[in-house]
Formats: sequence, C-alpha cells, structure tokens
Amino acid sequence: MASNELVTLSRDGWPMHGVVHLPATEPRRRIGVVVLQGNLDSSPKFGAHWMFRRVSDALAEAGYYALRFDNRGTCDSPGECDLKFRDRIIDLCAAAKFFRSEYRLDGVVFWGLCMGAAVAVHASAHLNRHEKPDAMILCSVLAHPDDASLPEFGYRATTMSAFLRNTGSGNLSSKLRRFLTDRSYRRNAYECVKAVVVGYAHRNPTLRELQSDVSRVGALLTRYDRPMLMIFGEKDPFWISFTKWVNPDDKLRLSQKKIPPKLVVMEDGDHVFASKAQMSELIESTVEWLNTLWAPTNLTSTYMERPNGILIKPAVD
Amino acid sequence: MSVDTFYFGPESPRLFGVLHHNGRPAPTSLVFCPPFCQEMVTTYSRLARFSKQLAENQIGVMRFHPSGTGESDGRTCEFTLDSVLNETGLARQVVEERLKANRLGYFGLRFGATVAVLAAAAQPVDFLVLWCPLINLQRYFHDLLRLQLTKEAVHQRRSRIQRTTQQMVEELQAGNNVDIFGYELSPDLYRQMIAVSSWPQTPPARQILWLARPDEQRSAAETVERWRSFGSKIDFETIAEPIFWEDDSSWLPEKFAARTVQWLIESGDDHGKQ
Repeated sequence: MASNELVTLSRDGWPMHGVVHLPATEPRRRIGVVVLQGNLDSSPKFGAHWMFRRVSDALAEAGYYALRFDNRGTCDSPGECDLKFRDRIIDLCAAAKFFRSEYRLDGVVFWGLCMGAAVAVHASAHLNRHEKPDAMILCSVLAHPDDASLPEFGYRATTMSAFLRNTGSGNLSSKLRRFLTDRSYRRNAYECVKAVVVGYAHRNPTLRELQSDVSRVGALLTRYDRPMLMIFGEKDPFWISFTKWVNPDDKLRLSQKKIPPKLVVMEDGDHVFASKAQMSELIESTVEWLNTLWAPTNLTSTYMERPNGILIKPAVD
Repeated sequence: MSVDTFYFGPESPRLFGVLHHNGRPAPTSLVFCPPFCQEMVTTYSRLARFSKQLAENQIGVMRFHPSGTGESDGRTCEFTLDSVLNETGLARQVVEERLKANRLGYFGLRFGATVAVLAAAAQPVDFLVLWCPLINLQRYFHDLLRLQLTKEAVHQRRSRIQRTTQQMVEELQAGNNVDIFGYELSPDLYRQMIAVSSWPQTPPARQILWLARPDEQRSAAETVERWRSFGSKIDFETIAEPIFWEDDSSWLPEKFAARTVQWLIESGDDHGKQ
C-alpha cells in the first residue's frame, strides 16, 4: 500500500514543507513526479477538491514517487514571504534536486496546473541537462500574459488588453440591456473599470514582471526537447487563450518537434477539472502516459541495493 | 516562530496537524476548525498566515485537516459532522499536551465556526472566536447543491443538465454520494447537517468573540441575545470586509484579524487578573 511521509527541503534559508508519496510496491525504475499547485501563493499543496493529493496518491499506487510542497513562506512552510513567480521557479529547482537525490530517483517529471505548469516550463529551462525534468505534464497551462492579471495570482488590477479580451465577446445589445436592468452586472462592470484604472494608475512592476515571464512560456515550450503531455479542459478559457493567442495554427511548431507533445482536451472539462469524472480522466491520462514512457520497458534502476539496504549508484567509466 | 507539521490521532485515519508556537508554553492557545469544501482551500493560505501572526503574539495555534480532507487520511465521502467534531476533540488534546496553555479556545470561519460552537457545546472550552458562522447548515448544504448546478449550467452541454437540487437531495436520501465541485458528499453528512436545526440554547463558552459581515447581523441577533441572557460575555461586532472566502487570492481580512488579535490579548489579560 502506498504511504506518505512529511519532508522539509530548503532554499535560500527558507525551509519548505512537503509531502512525499511513496509507491505501493518497489518500482523497477525509480521515477518521481513533482506536483505543482496552480496559483501564486494562495493555493495549498493539496489543491482545490484535493486534486493534487489525489493525483499524487494515484501516482504512488501506480508505482511512482510524488512530491508536493508549499513554497517559501506560504501555507504550512514557516515564515511569511511576499512570493513572486520567480521565487516559485527557484523553489521548484531546489525541490527537484532534493527529490532526485534524497529518493535516489532515476527520473523526475514535473506535473503542473495553470501557473504551476508555467513554473515547470521555466524551471526546465533553468536546470542543467542532468537536472532538468525527464518529462513534463502541463495541465491548463498559463501561457498568455493577459491571463496572469487575475485575483488568484495576487493582482486585483488588470490591464486594458485583458479587459477588452474578456469583455469583447458576446452580444452588445444584451450587455446594454443587462447594464440597465441588472444591478449585479452594473456593479461588476464598475469593478472591472476600476480595476483597469487602478492597474494603470498604480503601475505594478511585479505584475509586469509576471506577465513578461508568462509571455515566454510558449517559446520555452518549443525549446524543451523531452516528452511532454498537455491537458486542457474544453471549457477552460486558458484552452481558448492557448489556441487563439499562444499557439494559433501551431505557430510554435510544437507538432514538428522531434518529440511532439501529446495533447488531451477533455470534453466539457473546466480549468481545475472539478468533478469526479474529470479527475478520473485526468489521473488516467497522466498515469497511462507515464506508463508509456517507463513502465513497459525492461529498464531497471541505475541504483543498486547493498545488503544493508542502502541504494548506491555504481561508478560509470 | 516554529511551525511543526505532523500526523496525529488514531493509526487510521491518520490526521494531519500543524502547530504554530514560540517553543514555550503559550498562555493562550487556539484550535482552528477549518471551513468546508472549497472554502477550506480558498482560505487556507490566509488562515495559515494568520496563525503565524498569532504565534508572534504569544498565541499558540493548532491547525488540522479533518479526515477525508487535505493531507489527512480518508476519502471525502467519509467526512461527516460527527467525524469532524470528534477530531476537533483530538486536536484539542494535542494542544493541551504540547502547548500547556492557561486557556484554550476554538477558532472557526463559516462552517468551521459552526463546528467550533458544536464542539464547545459537547466539551466546553474557555472561549470561542467565530468569524461569520453558518447558523443554518441545512440552507448552506442546499446552497452548495445550487452552486453545483450553476457550474454545470456554465460548463456542460445543455442536453447533459438533467437534474435539480431536489433530485440531488433524493439521490442522497437514496443512499448515494453526490459530487459537488469534485468533492464527494455522503448521505451521512447530509443527514447530520440538516439535523442541526438550531444552535445550542445555552452559550457554549463564557467568552465569545463573534465577528460578522453587516448582512449577517439580523440572523445572528437572536442567538447573541439569548446567549447574553445566560451571563456570558458575547462580543458581537460587524465588520465590512469583502466575502474573502469566495476569492482565490491570498489577502488576509485585516480588520477581522486585527480585532481578533486585540480581543485575544485583552481577554487574556482579564483572565490573568482573575
């Protein structure tokens, strides 16, 4: 039976709390998956409807190690930190190194939702060849900068382009009618306009930095040269962003890569896969794809077990 | 300040807990009773931050995840009102053993505040801190069902939306779980929540800080007056803060937090003088 253990990893003097899911049976290849939450500093490592916990439990049942952690100064990690996107990249690099060495892993995979997926893409570019993830699973990836100006990422102000994009669709007469008859709609419209004005009145350098980093996700995806699975919900606005703005007509030439990413679009799926059926499909897609990479092969771990139970990596000439 | 994470309670289901303290016995300690479902997630980061701030003010805090939630063992459908009340008692034992506080209370937000009231009614504590408690759990449960249908209306093809809240209730009454935003809720939970038709007639603690949003004042007034009539000190205040538990960001409701810290320090001083 799979089990969990609590761990502490650290970076830059910040201890970070994590949970490692140990596989139910000793796997032939020791593969670990780092599971990344989707917001900046507001989501705990178990996630909405415990999705990260469930994914990790399922991975462990399928013979993989899984690590979830709270970033520096957030949630169950000690201290308080005004966390930035770039801190998340640094923390992930530290977590991946910790996971690989402490659990003697033969391979590490990044699994991220939304901003977590964007963090995974950036971290894969930061890590050197031996440290970078052997594969990535990106769910509802945040790749369009306008999508970064949302409250869940800590930014109450928005930009004019994001505002226009989110309000530009739909019927003008129905909007006008609702504006005149619906008090909630009027209040929301007022809040939107206020958010745009605030966004411009108080130039937010952190938001600009985040948007700049998010705008590079597409280019970094093209540079990543290892297997990649991308999962979107059909009703997720980020899927629309991705197809309409980030990668229209395969602008990024992802399909022409040496190892093209596998794409799964879940029918009626939403941004966080918030139903039992969607979660089953998400977990199934994740485990099946990982199994195509590792489980059916006859490869064995590069680590050898000594009689005292200690794992060692044999020296290679 | 220390943040200790650990498992506690029975071997199965193992419960996850977090203790915030400064390494010395705390004069005042709190057990945090978490909100329910998605509200536990949306408020998690803020309440963790609030716990760290309380620990800096010499107030020890124990946060825990009821079984079937967060990092604790169990499945969502195993979460019931009875189980969370029992586990609140287990969390309280941990605080009594480890922090050795002079006075101990429960803190709760929304559903967590209701749990705090019910747990204190079963086994008294020195004080309660309630943020926007849910007085009517039956209505709350129906609101969750309605929210689920709204989500389905937004995300699913029209041909697939074939049920009403009444049909969802019938599902529960027939002994089946229902899926609310990916959380599986059980018939036992439903039965227990609708059985709580009213709050305790007598005050569950001698000192209570009850913070509410202005629109909750009317529904709270009757209970507050009744509890006061028994001689308990009920500090009821309304504070205009946005509905932060519906918001996915991480800002702390500063007015709620500041008033709570002030009240805990002042009431702790009063306790010391007695």
